[in-house]
Amino acid sequence: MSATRKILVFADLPDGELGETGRGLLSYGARLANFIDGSWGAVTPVLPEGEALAQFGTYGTPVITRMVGCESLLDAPVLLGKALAQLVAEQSANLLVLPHNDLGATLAPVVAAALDAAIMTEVVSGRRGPEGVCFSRQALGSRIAETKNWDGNRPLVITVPTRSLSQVLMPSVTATTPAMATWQPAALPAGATGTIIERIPPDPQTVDLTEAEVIFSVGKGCDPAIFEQFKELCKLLNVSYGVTRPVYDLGWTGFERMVGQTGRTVVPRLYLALGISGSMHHVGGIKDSKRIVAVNSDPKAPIFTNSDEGFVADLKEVLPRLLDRVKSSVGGAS
Amino acid sequence: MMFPNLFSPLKLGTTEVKNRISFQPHLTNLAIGNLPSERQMYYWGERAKGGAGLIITEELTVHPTDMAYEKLIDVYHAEVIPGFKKITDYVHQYDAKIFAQLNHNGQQGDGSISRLPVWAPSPIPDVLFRETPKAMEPEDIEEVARYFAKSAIHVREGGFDGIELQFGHSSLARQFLSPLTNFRNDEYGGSLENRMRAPLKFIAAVRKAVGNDFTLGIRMCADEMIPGGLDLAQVQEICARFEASGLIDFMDLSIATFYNLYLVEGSMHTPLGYTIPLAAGIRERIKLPVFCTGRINDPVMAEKVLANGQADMIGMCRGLICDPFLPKKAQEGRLEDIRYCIACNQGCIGRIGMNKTLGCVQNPAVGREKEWGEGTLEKASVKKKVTIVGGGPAGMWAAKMAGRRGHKVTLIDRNEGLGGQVVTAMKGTGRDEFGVIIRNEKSQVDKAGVTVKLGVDASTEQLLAESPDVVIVATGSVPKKHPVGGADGPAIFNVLQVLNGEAELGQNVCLIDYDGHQRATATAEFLANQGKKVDMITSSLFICAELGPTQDLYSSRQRLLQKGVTFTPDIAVMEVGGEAGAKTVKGFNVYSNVWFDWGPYDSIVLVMGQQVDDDLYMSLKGKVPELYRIGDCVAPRKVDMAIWEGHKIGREI
Repeated sequence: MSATRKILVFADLPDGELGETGRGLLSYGARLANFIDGSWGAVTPVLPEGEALAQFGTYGTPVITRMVGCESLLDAPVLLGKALAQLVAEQSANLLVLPHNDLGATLAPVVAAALDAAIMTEVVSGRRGPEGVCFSRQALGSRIAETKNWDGNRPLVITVPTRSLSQVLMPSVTATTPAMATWQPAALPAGATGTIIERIPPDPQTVDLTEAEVIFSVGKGCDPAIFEQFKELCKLLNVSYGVTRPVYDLGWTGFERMVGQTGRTVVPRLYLALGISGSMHHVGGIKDSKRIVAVNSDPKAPIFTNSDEGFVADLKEVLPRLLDRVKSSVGGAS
Repeated sequence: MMFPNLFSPLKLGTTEVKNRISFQPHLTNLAIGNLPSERQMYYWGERAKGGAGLIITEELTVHPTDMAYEKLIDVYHAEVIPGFKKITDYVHQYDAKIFAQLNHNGQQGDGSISRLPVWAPSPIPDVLFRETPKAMEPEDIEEVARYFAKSAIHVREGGFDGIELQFGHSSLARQFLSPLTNFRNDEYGGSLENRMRAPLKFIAAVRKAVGNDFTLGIRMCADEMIPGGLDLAQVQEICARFEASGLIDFMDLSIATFYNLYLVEGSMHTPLGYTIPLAAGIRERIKLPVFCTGRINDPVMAEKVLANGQADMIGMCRGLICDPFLPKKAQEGRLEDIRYCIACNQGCIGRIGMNKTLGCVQNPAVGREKEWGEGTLEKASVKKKVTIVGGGPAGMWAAKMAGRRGHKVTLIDRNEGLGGQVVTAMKGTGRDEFGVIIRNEKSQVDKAGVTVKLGVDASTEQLLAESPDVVIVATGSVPKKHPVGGADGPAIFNVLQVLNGEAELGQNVCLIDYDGHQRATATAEFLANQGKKVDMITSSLFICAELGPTQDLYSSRQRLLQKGVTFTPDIAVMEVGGEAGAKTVKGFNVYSNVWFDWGPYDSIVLVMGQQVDDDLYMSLKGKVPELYRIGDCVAPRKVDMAIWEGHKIGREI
């Protein structure tokens, strides 16, 4: 591929922070640029500052283009998409990378339509192909993998599922001090469009466990009193909770909370196993978690051999203290 | 719908199967006179009724030299056709498809039943049957191919939808394919091409006989799991070549050989879905529909396997022996009604391996579907007031069955929960799934309208005061009070005390094992896991003597030995002596009659038998209109008999 290929990575900086999605996208952009042998840059409607700005540098972002005056369009994603399309056209970018979250998934078709560009959503992998770049996505409810080749002649818009993004810093990436550029649309897009009036964050208490980032689970080493404390702890820390089969059997939760081979298979960032012995049926459903921490009174419990970190302790002692500690940190609010 | 993948249709050759659940081939020992029987018709029919999309029969033997088991069907005789027709017609009325499995077991059998030499590629005895076979001459191979073809015609005439050729864990074809058993120097041995020649001949002969408009597949051993044997990479290649022949329509899979039979039929200690990676590996290589079988006992898991693209068809065997209606219940989202298999292997493999008819600990109706299958339970003509004392498996089953028939049932137990001895047994190492027996039935007892009273130690007077029409005593058994001289006093404990955490045990423990089953071994492992030094003494020839049929022997012995447990067989223990902290065991070798002393031990654990708890029964005798006793309080046995008797009495009162 020629060196003229230009990749733009879109980062929306929710609450002014890059977050895991933003960092993952930057890492993705750097990797793509590396094997496409092109240039890349980030584009954002928000002015990055402080920690966020530093992270752009850490991930080797050469240029950050701020879409001046577009911050207000974040609540009208279709209009933001039109502005983004103008930017992509003016900068002659060939590839726009968006996160496959609510915003990115809304922007992608708008940008692609405005540019008459190709679009591929939920791309899980990209690799150098015989005549360009091969992108793969899962289709038909993850039942098949669909691979398409992009020859680079026409612009392409892709979205990447946030779960497929890795925040790992590639060894080939060297930290930079990003050049700051601004871009302003000739006229701010306007017109009838849907507007976001409120953002309700997913409630970890109700989110599907398979999507949860942090899960605390209890096993049969608990009684009703401990279980109530446990649920309070999860609520205070705003994490999702799961249970093992024996706890589900006691009727304390619905089936959707049961973690294991015959329940939910989960892949959270952190899995805290409290009073779970670690039967293979349970471990089979959690083993791909990024980090497993276990607390169990039995030092020989098999959960420990499947954990990154283990603590031998009695839940009856630990949980109240943990709860006190958390309560004092979060001011006792619940 | 909860399971969109599981209940989507699949095309296998010319056969459209309505869902992805296949009732997999397994011995039933239900054939009579080596012909298909009525019991088999009802047995397979029940699974069709229960919603399985596909049923594959047990192995049907294609040649007289293959009589590995006494009660196989000789499919090479045309006499099988009328029986087949009855079976296939019966199954088809429930919109299920049925395939026949054809097999020659080769050296994985012996000639004591057929009175013929067994045939194999090379004169290598099977590790289990240990009979040196006759190395097949080329004309023998041709003959077996002809017999495969002849048998296939009988199958097609019999109304089956397709054929599966057994090339898996126990088959002549695998013996040709595997370097473990094929040492031939002719065109049937050596290179992979040569080793595949005989199996390809069998396939070609069958294809020619049945034509192209008939579904034909094979069951391959995906990995022999033994050094020197076929591994996944080699089997991938073999499968690709079979596929390339263009003669077959699907690829069913099994695992292992008779070197490692415990992997063929993984017991409770084996992870659920233990063969999934193998199925996924084969599916990666070929385009034909691939089956996956092996402890997939749960529709949630089955759905995941399909959604992950690891297989196209889920093979269930024990899962549907245990609950023929699992597919239907899953489709209707009634997960709490499914009776999940626990892979105890006691009723299924544990019985057929001993030449008994197939059974299931949790499903007394296996092989008796005509009498006890779905829809056979009749409402009681006289509604009685029934009191059942003892909420173990026997009592729960009696309550469930009687309640369903319209009796007014009260189930009383002195403990705080149902389950009886199962609640303790499931505390043994690796035995927690045993508790599923109780989990499965709890909701059914409730749904049957039974009044459950827990924490009630009913006296004779209290029971009589309620003036019940029927009392069923299911009070179970307790460890023998005085099984051996000196077995009283401190530092001596029984299994219940150990597993329930009521025993204060020292570091050095001697476990006297007159059980030979999980009661002893799971307890010994429970102790070893606590870091204790355990010596096991038994009067049997070896430790785990009763665990062979359930395929737990190998892995149990392996784990115990790895955990430092020592085994002393052949000893009749006559006395326990010594003070607490320095207990001794005295006994003699049952063959040499030489006496020995063992010790000193900190603690002794006795697994020396159970005795009935029949006080209540005896005190009620003659005082109620109808009095029965069931389960261990009649005679201490295993859970299969408790459930059997509970089920039976519940149907009969």
